Amino acid sequence: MRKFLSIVFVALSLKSAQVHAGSTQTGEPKFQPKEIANFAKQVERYSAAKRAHVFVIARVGQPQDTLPEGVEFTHVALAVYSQITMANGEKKPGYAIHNLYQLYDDPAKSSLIIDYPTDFFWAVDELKAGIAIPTLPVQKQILDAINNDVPSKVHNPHYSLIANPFNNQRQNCTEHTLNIINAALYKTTNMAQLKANTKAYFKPQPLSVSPFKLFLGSVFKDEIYKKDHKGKVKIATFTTIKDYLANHNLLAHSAVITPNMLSNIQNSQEI
Amino acid sequence: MLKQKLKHTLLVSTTLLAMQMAPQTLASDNASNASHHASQGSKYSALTIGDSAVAGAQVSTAVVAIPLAISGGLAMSAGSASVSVAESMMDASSNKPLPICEEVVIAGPPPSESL
Repeated sequence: MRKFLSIVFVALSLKSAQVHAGSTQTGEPKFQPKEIANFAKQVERYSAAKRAHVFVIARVGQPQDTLPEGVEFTHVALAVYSQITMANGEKKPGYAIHNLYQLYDDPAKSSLIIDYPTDFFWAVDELKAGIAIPTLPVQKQILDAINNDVPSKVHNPHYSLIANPFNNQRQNCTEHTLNIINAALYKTTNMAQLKANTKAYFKPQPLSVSPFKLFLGSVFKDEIYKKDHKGKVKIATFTTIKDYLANHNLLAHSAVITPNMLSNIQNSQEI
Repeated sequence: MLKQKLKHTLLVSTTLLAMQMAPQTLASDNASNASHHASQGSKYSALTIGDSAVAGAQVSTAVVAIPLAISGGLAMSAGSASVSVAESMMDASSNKPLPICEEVVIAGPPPSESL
């Protein structure tokens, strides 16, 4: 029995290391730092050309062929046009990214962290950004919400990678982004009201992962929590948030930005 | 004896298989941690030293970011924390791109490191 337990322990450790290797922002960059910084700056310039003050931004942290069907991006946040004070005291304009990040050493918990485009794209698997720019009145309301500390008011630090956006038992980065947008639109941080509205109007992405895999994940990994779902697991994604905004005439522009697309801006892939 | 051994092997194999089948495909890439922040120093070095360095742009560490207000018929609420600068640039009716600094900006170390 002792031998068996040690094998299980080793297996779990190996699996854990494997997942962290592919799931952390800390990993070695796959691309040259200058490529990452240039891409990040190009995403900023593209968004600035659209005069976006606040927009939904997404990145890809692992190979596309390892992602479930319908999931194109692995992390979603809000980019906010800001006055950035540098360490030397200079103040410069640029985008700050308001994230919900899973804690590395406590994966079932999250915290809210502001970083910048180069940080955001540092450990990506692909130089690719999803952006969804709400209409100007919506941007203004989201900005008001951010200024009124709404992101922390609608933050639930209990993390699940597959959090159900229809309740507040667990939360991931995408659900938090959706919470901020809805809190801004409805001008409330009442979670019961926000979730009732989400249930009425937001269409989540059904997750095409086998129930057996999900069961195993929920047994072995704290951050994969299935009990907040009844029936099929459905999650919020960049695409479903973009579609939600578009379906309610709240979206001004969206695009998937890649270096190739940027090299010929005329061929911008509208989505 | 043989039966017990078979049972044990089956149990171990099932567990190892389960480990392999757990939904790695769902792995999030949004983990944050102390080492992330500690790695900001090495990120700065990677961006400023050697072949990987960004040419022609300064790399700056940010201390704080305050949202810039939208103006031009979309007045900010009273007491807003947003900063309003270069009014003509921020006017919602303008078609000009919003100004973006040339610097490569990265987050600074966590507050715990400043102690």
